[in-house]
Amino acid sequence: MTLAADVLGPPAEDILPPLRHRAKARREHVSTAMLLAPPAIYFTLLFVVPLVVLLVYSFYTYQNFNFTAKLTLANYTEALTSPALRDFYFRTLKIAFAVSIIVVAVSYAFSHILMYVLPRAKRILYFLVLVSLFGGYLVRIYAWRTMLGRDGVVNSFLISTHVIRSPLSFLLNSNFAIVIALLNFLIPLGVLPIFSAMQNISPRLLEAAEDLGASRIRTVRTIVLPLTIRGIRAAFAFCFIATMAEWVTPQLLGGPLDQFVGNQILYEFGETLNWPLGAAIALTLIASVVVILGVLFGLLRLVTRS
Amino acid sequence: MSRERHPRRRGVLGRLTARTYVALVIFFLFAPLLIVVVVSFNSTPNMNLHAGFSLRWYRQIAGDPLVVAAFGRTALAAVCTAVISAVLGLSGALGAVRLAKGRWRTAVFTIPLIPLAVPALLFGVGLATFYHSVGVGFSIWAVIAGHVILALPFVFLVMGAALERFRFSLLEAARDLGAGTFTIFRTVTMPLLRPAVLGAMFLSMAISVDEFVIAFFTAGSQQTLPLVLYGRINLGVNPGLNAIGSVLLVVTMALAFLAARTSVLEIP
Amino acid sequence: MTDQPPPVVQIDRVTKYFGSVTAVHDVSLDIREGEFFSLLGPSGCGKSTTLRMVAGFEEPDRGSIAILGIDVTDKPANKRNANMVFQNYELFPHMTVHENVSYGLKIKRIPKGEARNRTEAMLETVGVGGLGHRRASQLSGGQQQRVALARALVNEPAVLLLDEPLSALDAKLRKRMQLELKTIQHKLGTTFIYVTHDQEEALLMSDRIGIMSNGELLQVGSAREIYESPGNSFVADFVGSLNDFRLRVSAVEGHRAIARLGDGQQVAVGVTADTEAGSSLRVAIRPERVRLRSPGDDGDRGQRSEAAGDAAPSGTEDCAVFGVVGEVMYLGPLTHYLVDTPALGRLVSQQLSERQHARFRPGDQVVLSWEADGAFVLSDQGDDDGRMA
Repeated sequence: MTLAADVLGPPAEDILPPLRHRAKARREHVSTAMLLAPPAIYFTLLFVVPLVVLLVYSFYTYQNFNFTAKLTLANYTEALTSPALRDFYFRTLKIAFAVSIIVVAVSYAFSHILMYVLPRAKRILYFLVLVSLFGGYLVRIYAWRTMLGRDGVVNSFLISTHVIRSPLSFLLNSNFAIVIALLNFLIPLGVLPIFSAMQNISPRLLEAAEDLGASRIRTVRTIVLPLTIRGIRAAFAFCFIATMAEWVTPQLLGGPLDQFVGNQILYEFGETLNWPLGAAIALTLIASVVVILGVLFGLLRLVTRS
Repeated sequence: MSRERHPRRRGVLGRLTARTYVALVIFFLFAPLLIVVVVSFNSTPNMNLHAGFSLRWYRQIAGDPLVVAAFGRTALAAVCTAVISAVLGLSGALGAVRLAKGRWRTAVFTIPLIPLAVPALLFGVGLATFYHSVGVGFSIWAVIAGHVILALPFVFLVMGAALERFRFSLLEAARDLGAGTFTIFRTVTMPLLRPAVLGAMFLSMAISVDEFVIAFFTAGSQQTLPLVLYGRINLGVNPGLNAIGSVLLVVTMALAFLAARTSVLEIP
Repeated sequence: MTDQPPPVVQIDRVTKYFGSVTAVHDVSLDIREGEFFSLLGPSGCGKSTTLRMVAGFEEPDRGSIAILGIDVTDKPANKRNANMVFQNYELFPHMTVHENVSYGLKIKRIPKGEARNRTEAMLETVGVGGLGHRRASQLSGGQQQRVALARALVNEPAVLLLDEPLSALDAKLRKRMQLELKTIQHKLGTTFIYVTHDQEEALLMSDRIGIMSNGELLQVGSAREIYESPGNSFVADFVGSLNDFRLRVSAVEGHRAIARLGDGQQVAVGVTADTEAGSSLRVAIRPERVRLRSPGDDGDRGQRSEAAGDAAPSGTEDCAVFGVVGEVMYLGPLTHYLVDTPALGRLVSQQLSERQHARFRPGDQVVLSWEADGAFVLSDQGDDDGRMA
């Protein structure tokens, strides 16, 4: 019978042919590594190594506008104890908090309106916000000088409409100017993560909440907010880091007493040539930012969990 | 929490408030940019908004060898940054998508994004000390090397997204029809990834043209356009600056727009 | 298989592992020249992996593969004389239809004029002549299917590999493409290896079918062999539908085993000579082989008219089982009668539909019967759901 002959499958005791070398699999591993290598090498050499070098320099010894490879902790002692630096630091911290909170609030409201109140216009509005991201960092800061100066656009406008009689002087060279300029280029960066987080919430979910009788406020509080918390965190962290390490804005728009830690770092690098101290300040600044954000988000998690 | 209060029925007043709010935010974002462009066409050197239209400031900067040289360097930096970061990003993304799902793949997709979270100030002084430590002088090439690091995350994001959508079985089809690795890359992979590569390059150029902090720390005497702008702001207000600013603005925005047109920036 | 021409594809004891999973286990198979061979099995049975190993996309971990007598196990896909039609066609979206089809010829450096002629001739053959300048995205599913076929066939491969090529088409188009594929294959004489999970498709199109399950090749044979004499219960069950039950053999008469079921009922089944009386068999019968008649009515059995009046089987009849019609299912050309029998449980009988009304209604008493060689014995491996009778 053909049937018996054609039923295949060897007897159980039959030994299988030997295992073959997986030449192709190995070749593929090699080519994957070869594709990943160039960016990995570049990234290490020009990003990781520079930061490591900065760390090493922060332990160097500074003397007479020069520094030597003699290791010391003096720079960190200076960075952590100098009263002048402490003033710079807390001033920066205060503004960073204020700016980050305002950015999150403004961006959240903006994203919310785009998503749920004016959904038909959301594409074009979101596009506008994205475009403004590329509006030129330095150009914007400079523009605010034109806007807020004594003879600037804002003062001229207010005088010509008889709102004020003499120009407002607090507009420029002030914390006000710094905050305005920072908000101006950070709001798009706040909208980006928050809007995309909202975008990911299924409208069905909101309908379900409404269907269950939740009011709008309650829906936002119990559904939208928890689901967008990641976006809020990202927006906050980004603004906070950016502001803490800012130096161009205070330099161009702030008064002499409104300078940030960043300006001091710049001063050490550019004026005193005390690179080790500059490096130590920069690294302690970043370390403190990481710690603050870590504590903040830790607390946030505790609060949202309870 | 009355059941009848349906969110769809938001009052006219509510909608009006919402529109006003959105308009104010958009106005706030664009006001400084508009001012720079408007003032750059002013015929008088002050901020008088009622002065006549004039191209004198553009003529002035066009005749300024320092500005022209800086413009050239900015263009060079933009092109080199775009090419280098595109090659590195494409190579890395092609490698990354070949990895099996797991810890390695996650790492390879996350690590390139780290520069996004590192402030430019820190990276700038780091790069400067690095160049100092290895004895490399500051120059436009030092700037380009840094700009590539800033552009890589974006290139990687754009390429990664394009490759996620890429049908790798097309490569099997090409191989099945007799094509070798290089031929497949030339005839199938590259043509299909071209929009993403171009978009990533435009994005890198926009980033490089606009970049100030890294350039500040590593350009030395070979100033880019933003550096010239910065130097002159410190010297005092000068309407020519608005012309430089407007040029920078228009170039970056045009590049960003091109990037968006090549379907890189995903707009929901 | 002695005086056959040498096989086009020889799969020799191939095993493939994916991690700890054995995707294909010790499969050996010869594909003959010009035949339409189908690999049939449920999803995940290893049929696609087997095909992809022939194409060169997967490496066998054991065993070897030869095409036209040359070992190609270590050759990459682009160096093999085999072309594939993919499940989702995989037409290059940035090329026109013509560019897609001539892609392989261009790589082989066929002169331009000849390449153009061959491409156009092939597009004509598969029925999309004149669409050469369209983009793949501008084509309907059926047209894309034809272009994919042309793109592979234009290279004149020794064997064409088709990986569920029709599964993305709707039912009607699918039926048409089945026939056209068969026609094209006839016309060109190309060897086809066709992977499908659709047993009807395999039966309709194939010269031979290989049934796979859990990575193993269970049976190879013509459509008729697979259907009428399945080697085991998996094959029998996977190809077509089946009534199965268990019998204790009362007597063996040559190649016929008889089981008496009491009340004068008995059934017969064709067996091999070594079956002994008293042994227990698992027996299966296709629904279309089960005949129905009313008790006391032999008339419609035509040639086998027996002395009527008594429903009990006479000595010359192979079998008769009593039952009551449970459900009647009208399927257009066919009607299924689900009959409950005290002796063998529920059996399905498939009959040609009558024009006016069904022959039997639920509740009717019927007698079921079949020819002894219409039923077959299932090998007993690995299942225990057979009913004892």
